[in-house]
Amino acid sequence: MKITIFSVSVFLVAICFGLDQNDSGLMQTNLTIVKNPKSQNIDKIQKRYTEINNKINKNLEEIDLDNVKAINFDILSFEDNCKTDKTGEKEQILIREYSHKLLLNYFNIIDKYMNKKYSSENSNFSSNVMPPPGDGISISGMSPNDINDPKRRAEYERLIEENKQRSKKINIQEILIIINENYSERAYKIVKEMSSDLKMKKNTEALIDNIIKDDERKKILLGILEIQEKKEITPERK
Amino acid sequence: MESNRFKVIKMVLATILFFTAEILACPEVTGITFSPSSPQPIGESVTASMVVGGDTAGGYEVTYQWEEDFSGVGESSDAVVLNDPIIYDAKATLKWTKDGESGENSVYDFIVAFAVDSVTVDKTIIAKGSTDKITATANLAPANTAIGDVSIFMQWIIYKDDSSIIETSGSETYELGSDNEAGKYKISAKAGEKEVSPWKKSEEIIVFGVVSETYVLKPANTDRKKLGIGEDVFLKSKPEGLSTVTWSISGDGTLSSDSGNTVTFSASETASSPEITASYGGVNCSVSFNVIEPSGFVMNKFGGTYHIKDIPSVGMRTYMFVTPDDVNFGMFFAEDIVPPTAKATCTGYFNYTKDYVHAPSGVEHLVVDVVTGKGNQLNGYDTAAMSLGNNFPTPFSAGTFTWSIPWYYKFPGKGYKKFITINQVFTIDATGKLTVSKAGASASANLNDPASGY
Repeated sequence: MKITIFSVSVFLVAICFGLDQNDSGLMQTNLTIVKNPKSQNIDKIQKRYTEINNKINKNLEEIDLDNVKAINFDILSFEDNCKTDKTGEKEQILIREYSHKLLLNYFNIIDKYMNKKYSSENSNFSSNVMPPPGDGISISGMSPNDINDPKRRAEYERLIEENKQRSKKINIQEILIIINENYSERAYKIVKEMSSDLKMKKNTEALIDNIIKDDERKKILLGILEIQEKKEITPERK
Repeated sequence: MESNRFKVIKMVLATILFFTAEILACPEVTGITFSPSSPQPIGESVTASMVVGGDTAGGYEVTYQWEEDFSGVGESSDAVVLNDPIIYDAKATLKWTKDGESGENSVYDFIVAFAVDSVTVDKTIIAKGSTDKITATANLAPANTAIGDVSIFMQWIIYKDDSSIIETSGSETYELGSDNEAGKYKISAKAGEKEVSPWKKSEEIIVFGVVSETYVLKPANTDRKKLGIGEDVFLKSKPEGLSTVTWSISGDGTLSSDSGNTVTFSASETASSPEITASYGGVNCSVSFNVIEPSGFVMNKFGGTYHIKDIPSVGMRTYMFVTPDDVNFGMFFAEDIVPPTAKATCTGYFNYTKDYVHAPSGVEHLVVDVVTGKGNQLNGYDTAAMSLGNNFPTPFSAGTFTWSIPWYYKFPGKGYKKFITINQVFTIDATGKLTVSKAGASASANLNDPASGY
């Protein structure tokens, strides 16, 4: 009898705790951990967000050119993959907020490494370099070993190395330009959707202010939001 | 002479005939017609009329009576508005009097008023592009009643994502084909035009589809199914927000995940024809790709022609394009990566240069644009130039110098793969005129042409 009363009491306590769970959705008693399906989903969303955000931050420390593009696949599909027809309103708000944070934070990678002064028109490196003129034959792309004059050969080797280093720097910029072109157009579209009403605009403006580090990017994004400062109009004295 | 017996028979027959004629001649109601006729959607106003037979003009005094769901005292009833989906009964009675005689008779009939009670569908999900279709049927009230053909009264509105997209009429069922855009649909039906007749919606039905969008925005048709090797494509299940979409691949290439509403497909690094299937609710929707490798290499000369006066020399700079122009090979390309490299093949005048080898320059070019009619443009440029220097042999004679230079492509973090060999050819004639040609581009300079740069 005592055991039954004890069991019923524990059950009632568990129910009470269940009605008053904390933000993480966890209810812990000394008997068991009860986790409702909704909070499990929130945990999953938070985990995914953290995972992607860590990748962004890692690239902000040191860019990984082989993998930096793949992160924007994760970002652009984040909302789609977190949201289902069973997603509650509270979760939807969280998903959207995380999606927007990731979306904006990724711009920081592009802006950090992209040289604004670089222009594709200055993509001046060649697949072959012409040796400096001299007595012997010069053919673009020839092996330096075929140049007998050591001075001319050394100069040729210097030109080859210079061309190679220039191409590396240019390629980093070109990769970022390609990412910027393909990512920004999609991301700007989402940012525009983020400002469909004044309240959303204000939230997005705050996110842009907090996350975006580059002033020029900030200006572009705020321009997309079409946020204009309201100027007080003082009637002219007659 | 007629016998008396025959006369009696004649008299009896005449009497019977007289009374029969009298009975047949008296007015009577023989039927009821409804205007408009049965069946009718609810909300319609209907009048019933008696079909009267017999003699109504031969001094008969006739009265009419409508009962049951109809009323009135005329040959036609008062108008009745059919407010409910039920059977409306009509009883028509005709009474007559003449010369102290009287008679009456009644007939019964009914009209069916109907409305849409519900809309049911035979399936809730179909795959876009399949041969499947969803048939929606308007179930009518009153139930269990042979209402008859009501197709002319039926109206249909098809909603996609809560917006009406199709309005149609004239059939008792509606078929939603898999050629419709992927999305969430509801099919709504109504009988007749009157406001009292309700619209009834089906449960939500889904045309399940997959849309693909290439990551790169060039070429502009991002929904293309022809891909360059290694291209990345977003695959999105439609409608959005479905809970358990799973993905599988048949053939080469990789998927970023086997579940989710959006996945990324990365095409294989060699030509292939993969098919990717998304599954939801037991329905599969597939999308096939044709993944191709680079097929050619084209150079376009730009700028001037390099030459040093009085020295056999020529040079050109070219923009480089990898064909075709309808996919994006978003990867690195490089000339002559792996030493040892091929020696020159020389003829005639150039025999003395046959030991010269082409060496890797260590640079990689990226696809930075896709130019219609040309191909995938690589960044940077190529320089194809030769100068015989100050100590060139004379006299001049015809000769050729050819380097067969391999070109490679490389995916980020992967090794190189050779895809084409390009000949860089220098030709000299007996005047010392030198010509260079490479991948469709060429330039020439005569010995005594003025000096010029690229």
